[in-house]
Amino acid sequence: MGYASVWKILPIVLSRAVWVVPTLLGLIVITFVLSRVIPADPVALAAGEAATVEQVEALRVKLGYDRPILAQFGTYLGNVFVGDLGRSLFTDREIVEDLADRLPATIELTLVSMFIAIALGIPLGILSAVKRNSLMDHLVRILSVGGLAVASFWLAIMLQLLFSMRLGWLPLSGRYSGFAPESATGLLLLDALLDLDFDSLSIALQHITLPALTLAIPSMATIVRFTRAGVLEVLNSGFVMYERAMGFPESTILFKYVFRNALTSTVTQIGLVFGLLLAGAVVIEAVFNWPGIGLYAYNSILQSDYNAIMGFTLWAGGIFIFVNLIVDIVHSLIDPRGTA
Amino acid sequence: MSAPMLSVQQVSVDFATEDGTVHVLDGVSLAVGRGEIVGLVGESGCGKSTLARTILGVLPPHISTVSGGRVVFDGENLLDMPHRRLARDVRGRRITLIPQDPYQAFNPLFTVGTQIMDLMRTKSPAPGGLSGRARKRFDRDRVIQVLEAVNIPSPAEALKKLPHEFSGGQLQRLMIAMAFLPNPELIIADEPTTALDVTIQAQILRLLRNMADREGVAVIFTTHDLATAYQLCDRVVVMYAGQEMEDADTDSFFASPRHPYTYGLLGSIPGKNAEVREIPGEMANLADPPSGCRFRTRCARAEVRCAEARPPVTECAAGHVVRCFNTANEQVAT
Repeated sequence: MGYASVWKILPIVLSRAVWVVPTLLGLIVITFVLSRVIPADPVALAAGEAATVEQVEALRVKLGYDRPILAQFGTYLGNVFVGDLGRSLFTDREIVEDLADRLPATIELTLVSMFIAIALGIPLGILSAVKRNSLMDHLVRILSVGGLAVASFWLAIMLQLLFSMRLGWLPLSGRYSGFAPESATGLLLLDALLDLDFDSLSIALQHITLPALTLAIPSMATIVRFTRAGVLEVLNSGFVMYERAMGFPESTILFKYVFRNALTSTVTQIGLVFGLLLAGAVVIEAVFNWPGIGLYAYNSILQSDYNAIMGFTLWAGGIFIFVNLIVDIVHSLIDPRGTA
Repeated sequence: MSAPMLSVQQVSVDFATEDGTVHVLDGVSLAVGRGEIVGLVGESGCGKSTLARTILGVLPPHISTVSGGRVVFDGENLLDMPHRRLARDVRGRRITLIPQDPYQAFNPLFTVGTQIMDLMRTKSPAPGGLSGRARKRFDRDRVIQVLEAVNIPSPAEALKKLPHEFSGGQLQRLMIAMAFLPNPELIIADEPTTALDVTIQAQILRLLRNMADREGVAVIFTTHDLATAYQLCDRVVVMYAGQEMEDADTDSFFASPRHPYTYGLLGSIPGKNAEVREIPGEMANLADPPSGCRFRTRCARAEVRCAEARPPVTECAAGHVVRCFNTANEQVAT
């Protein structure tokens, strides 16, 4: 349908994919360096307050923290490549396992948030631009500026107070009431849908509503603003003027021609917005006691569990790179000019 | 002469700007007969593009108002016509546009074919009885035929390409094709060669002239270049500061120009031997135009009465009108 064919975008995809490797490598270096320059002694923390100096040093040797920094990095890098992120300094569990256990909850939360942000953000942005300077536009703009400015944890608590404590409509926190049903994919909503288990679906939906909404708001505000700006810019372009002068139906102009051009800037934004979601997830999961990676990171930070923090950072960075790769591919599908 | 196909009568258009209301058009009149090519000549800012947009009914919304006059097309005042009907039945169908910059007028993300076929979907000249597959075949044949007529090599292939794969000259040929596709009665060509290389300009003008003659389509051709108007047009209308200053058929216009501004324009055409003279001063400030004649501040022959009253539009010869007190005077101003 006029969109670029797979063959045409393959070179673009490959050229972007090649960049993933050095980007990831850079990410690993930065996480590692940051974890070693922080002025705290993770070994001492792990050994506990009661440990003697000898015990701390013994643990240091055991964990390999006494070796030269480059040697430590070499080992770390090698381990990362075989999928070993080390063990938690506190629980001694494999961090990869910890992350894998908590991954589905976070994926579910971010996906639902992303969906809310896009499904509401793009139409609101378009409406706001098309009805420029109307009451609707002003309202949307106030809300989107507010959405960016408001602190997530405060908003989360206010929503909890209103909807859970006062009105009692939605659960206060957690992912499910009681024990979650046996899960095939780890995504409760998807499982319930696949099993046609509408009771579970309803319970899971009630739990995810507030955290997903709170998490979505800054991202949605960003998408609204960029979509509005994009549409306004496109509405002023020469081809819109030409199409109007040639009497193209307004619906064709707006939904076919303007929409796609405006989408190119919005799609690029969505990749960045995903970073907002990941960062927001740490706070939101902590407030809503959502058993995901964000909550894990939050707890790890409180405990200075360095290996776990590094594991989370790598995961978040990796997924961010991955999402932006997808965004680049989608962008090249929308814009067939090949901007690689 | 029978009633002209299009007659612009005393049209005034105001723009709201930060400097206050600007009278971009101030009582402009002109007429276009069937199949006639009319050149609308003037400096940038004289209102020729605004006039083109007024006729098409696509003035920039919110900031512009038509404060007077009529645009009568085939007996109907387009300024009164309901917006929907204007968009559906007139624009792109009976009156089409060749834009100034073809690079801007194509959407860069869609193939040329998509954009042309979208035009044909609502503006095809297909007979009313055709529908479904027959209509599609008619449209497709018409597109191929017109693309061939404007010298686009292998039209079927060209339709699959994106705008950036064409040169500016080819894009403008495609724009010309789109202007002719709906089989219109009037084409508004708004400085169609300004954005093109000089070497291409002549080709495009010749093509436009040939196509218009063959299809019997009238053209309003805006340009700042009198020489181009001389080559292309049957009639020339010179505009200055939102008013027509002189309006005559091409022969009469160049044989005996009457308006001092026209002399100025003629003098500023670079020739082999003649020295190029420029018109002194700058375009009148439309937010606060001079009293009386709008051109008097730059006119070599301005008199006291030029500041006191607005000069009348007088017919000094058959079909030759001029907005000046000095119509009898023919010698070239210095």
